[in-house]
Amino acid sequence: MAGHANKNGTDFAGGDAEGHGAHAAEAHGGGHADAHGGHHHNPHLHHHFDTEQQQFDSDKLGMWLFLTTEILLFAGLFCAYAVYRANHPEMFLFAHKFLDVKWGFINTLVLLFSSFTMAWAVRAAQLGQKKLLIGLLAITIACGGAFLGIKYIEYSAKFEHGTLWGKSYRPDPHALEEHVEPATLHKLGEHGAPAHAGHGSAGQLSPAADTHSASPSAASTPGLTHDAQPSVPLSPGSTPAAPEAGKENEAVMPGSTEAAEHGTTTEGKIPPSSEAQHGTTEPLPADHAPPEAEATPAEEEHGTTAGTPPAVGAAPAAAAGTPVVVEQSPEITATSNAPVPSPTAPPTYIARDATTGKLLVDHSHVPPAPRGPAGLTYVPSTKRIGTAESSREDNAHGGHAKWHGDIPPNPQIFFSIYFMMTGLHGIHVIIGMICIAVVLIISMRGGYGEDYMTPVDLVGLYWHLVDLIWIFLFPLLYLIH
Amino acid sequence: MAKVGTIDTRQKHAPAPAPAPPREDYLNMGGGWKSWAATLDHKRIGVMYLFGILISFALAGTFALIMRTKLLTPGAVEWLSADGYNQAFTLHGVIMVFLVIIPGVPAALGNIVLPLLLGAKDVAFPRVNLLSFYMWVAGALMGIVVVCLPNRLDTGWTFYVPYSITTNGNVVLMTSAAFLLGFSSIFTGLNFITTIHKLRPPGMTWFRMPLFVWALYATAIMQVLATPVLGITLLLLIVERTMQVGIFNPALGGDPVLYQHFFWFYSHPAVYIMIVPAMGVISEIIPVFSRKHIFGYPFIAISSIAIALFGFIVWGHHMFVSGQSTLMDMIFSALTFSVSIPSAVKVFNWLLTMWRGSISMKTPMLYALAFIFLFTIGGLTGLPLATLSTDIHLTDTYFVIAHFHYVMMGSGLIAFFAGLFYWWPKFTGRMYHERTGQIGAILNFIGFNVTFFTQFMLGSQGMPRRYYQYVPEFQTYHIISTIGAYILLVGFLFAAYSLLSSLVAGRKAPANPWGGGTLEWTVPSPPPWYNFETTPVAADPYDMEHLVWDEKEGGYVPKPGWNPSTAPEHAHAH
Repeated sequence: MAGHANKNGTDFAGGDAEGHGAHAAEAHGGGHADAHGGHHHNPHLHHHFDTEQQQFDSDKLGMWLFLTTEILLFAGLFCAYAVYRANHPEMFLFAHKFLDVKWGFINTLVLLFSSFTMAWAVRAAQLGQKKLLIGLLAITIACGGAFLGIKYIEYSAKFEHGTLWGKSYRPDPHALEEHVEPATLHKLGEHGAPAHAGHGSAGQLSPAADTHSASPSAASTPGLTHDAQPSVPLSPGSTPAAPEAGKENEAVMPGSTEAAEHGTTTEGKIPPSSEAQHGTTEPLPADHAPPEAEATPAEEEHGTTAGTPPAVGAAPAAAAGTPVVVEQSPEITATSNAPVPSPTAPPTYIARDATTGKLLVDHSHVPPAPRGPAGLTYVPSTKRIGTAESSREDNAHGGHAKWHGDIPPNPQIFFSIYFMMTGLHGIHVIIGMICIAVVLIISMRGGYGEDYMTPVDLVGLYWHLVDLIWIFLFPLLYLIH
Repeated sequence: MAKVGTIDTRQKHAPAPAPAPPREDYLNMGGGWKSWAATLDHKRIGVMYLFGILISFALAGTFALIMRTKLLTPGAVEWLSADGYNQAFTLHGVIMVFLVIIPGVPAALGNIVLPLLLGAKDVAFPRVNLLSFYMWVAGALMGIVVVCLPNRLDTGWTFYVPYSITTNGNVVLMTSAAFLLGFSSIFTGLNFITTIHKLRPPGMTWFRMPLFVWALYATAIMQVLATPVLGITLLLLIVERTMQVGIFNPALGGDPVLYQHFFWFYSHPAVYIMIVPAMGVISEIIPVFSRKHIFGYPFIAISSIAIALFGFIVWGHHMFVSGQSTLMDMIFSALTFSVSIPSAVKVFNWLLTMWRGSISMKTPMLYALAFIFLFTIGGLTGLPLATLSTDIHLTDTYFVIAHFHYVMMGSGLIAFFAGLFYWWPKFTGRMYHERTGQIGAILNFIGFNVTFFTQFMLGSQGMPRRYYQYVPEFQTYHIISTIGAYILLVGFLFAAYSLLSSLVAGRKAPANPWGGGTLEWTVPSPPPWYNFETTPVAADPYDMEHLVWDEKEGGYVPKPGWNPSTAPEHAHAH
């Protein structure tokens, strides 16, 4: 093969942009000279390049293009992150509390330091300082190893707590307790039902979310700690809610043509339950039973449930501080229906303004989708679930404060994105370490000097990119406000 | 190992070394399969690509014939189940798109001629080039495994979720294959961009590059910028199936429409990855066979780049009925219309190049003329599909099928064949058989229109795509369409005979059989492995007036005393 390569006049292909150190190593081992044209003095010069500068520029350009593709590879994940976070900020705010800022921060420092040593290594290679180069490359690899070690610690904590991706998301109740306001848990524990009886009706949380918030208390109920699984009833009363969930999602979908004529979305607190009053034949979901009754952005309770008006039936009790909804039974549903000041509301969250013809979406009452496509539900801000208060606490403690309020639906999406992003990044760290190791071996053999150090340069670029991606991942995943 | 087999077979087709004093060229420079398998020579890599692509083309074409044959009758047939039909159209689509059309012009023809057009000895990264080829081979082998396993793919070539998550078809293997093919394509693009930037010869400014180089450059930009998004999308789909991450799975809170956005963010530019290099081929062929300088060079050059850029902002037109907001629909609709501008610019410039030219109807020119005709129909039928109101009626009907076949096959593949015939003498050293080549081109043109023009009628009358059975009213159209498919088969057999017979009994090709002014015609056919003895000086690539027919040579030769470095700039060049 080597002979053939010589015949082809193709000797070592400099720093082929693919970042495959292996090729470089093999070619260097051979160290065969240029096959044609005695005018080349540098054995590293590829036969089809006229000058070393041309070859170096080509290698550099190729590497930058390759880095562009790497960025675009990650861009897909960043895009998914942006879509889900924009649609469900509360879910991100909640779920990120399970990440350990301390470890993330240390890892950021480790990678920044390794970038520094890498950049220094490139300089050392340029100056032909072999020992320094070897030392710095070794430190860079060690930093990569440290990064992976810390990542391992973080990952094993996630596996232990069951805060994993998608279907594997089965949070350990104890882990939940660590991160969720104990008062909430306490109440839940006492009464076996969500304290905010009204939140369903207020459009804040869907039945599934109820199940979620309830689950930590019902620690012994394995089913409850699962991901969005609305069919797991907290109480008999909530059972009928499950089948309804899907329908509601459909109604909520933007573009739904079910938009009814509805002039006012001003306060627009049109609860899903209002369907009942509208003669729609759909049975009223139990959890949604309590119609809203008000545009009282109830800051009551811990103030964390801002915008969660208590249900009509439950309101008095809630106001009195009495835990409500002893059992969310069908009867309650029925009774709560009765006293409702029948809202002149359409059966959906979307209405068409009679005068302007514009579609009006009642964002405040659009419940997060428990099972449906999360991206389809629009949630305008974090005000409903994640509170400013908790954010402030975050700042105050320099770490994650406990979560106040209800657990938003679909936290598994956050962990899916977390694992995909950090996993893909981790693979890149490993590839980078392998490449640096190859460069390290070659430099120990004296392969690089002032006249030729392209691979060190290219590997350096790659490593900086890996570092840079983490610089974006850290705040996006660990520091959410 | 199949790839070894591939190379061995290719070896048999290679022409015997030239008689008398054997001139060393890239084909006979080294014997044995190893000299092919480990080659870093761009021409050999291109020839290996070509071989693999033609095999894949035959395979995918077979699936097409299976489908068309079934559709002769409206009801179920014994020899092909509904599932088998789903698998046939899926594999037809996947293989044609990922294994044939996307790599066809850039990876096969581009690899062979790009360095020659640039007066370079090779592409910038020969090893990456070989790696890219082996990624293609690996992807192709995985695709063949999918074809052979019982649970074939049945998702359609788009792998839409949630069906692709739930089906029993072999989605993971095929998407892994597409992932590899994607990175093969990325590395080719990366290589070409660097080559075009850094390896142009003296005298070749950006606006003196052959238009095929411009087209490959625009294509490479799309390959590098769009394909990674497909990579991550397919990766997510694989993880979705294996680990149930739920990012696209609505049952786990994911968003299936997000998948469509991701997929089409790549796959719309992918349509231009197929068509832009094809346009580049046509821009080379039209002036040469019209014996006339290309008209509107800078417009054709810039329109390639414009198409590449517009291609990134129109993906939403694949999703007009997918639950996008109306506003998005309208924006994407408007942007889609904008793509027609640079496309039409090219068509008008080609027509004006031919105007008052001395046109010779050689096989490449026949294919090029077919291209202009078919591409125009394909482009114009895109407009009703970009219009929201008509698209809602036409979505997922045979109208769409006909439209994209006019673009992808009628334009992309026809141009691939145009280029194949055009450069065949250069890289094999043999003249193909002209008469059978012409017959093949004409049959293909007729067969193509019989097959697919009928489908515009079918689609506008409401025949949905991907249906195994249909109402009997449509049968006449389906029968006509199927007849057209078999005419195409005969046409391609003629083309294959014309090309392959030349390897055995073809006339030895001169350096410049067509009188082209680009640099690849200045080297012998087939070229030596180093391409150029000395780096050439580039002049206006479409100045052909210095070339005269030489009977003894059997081709064109430069007038005595002509010197490219002092050649006057052509009046039409700017």
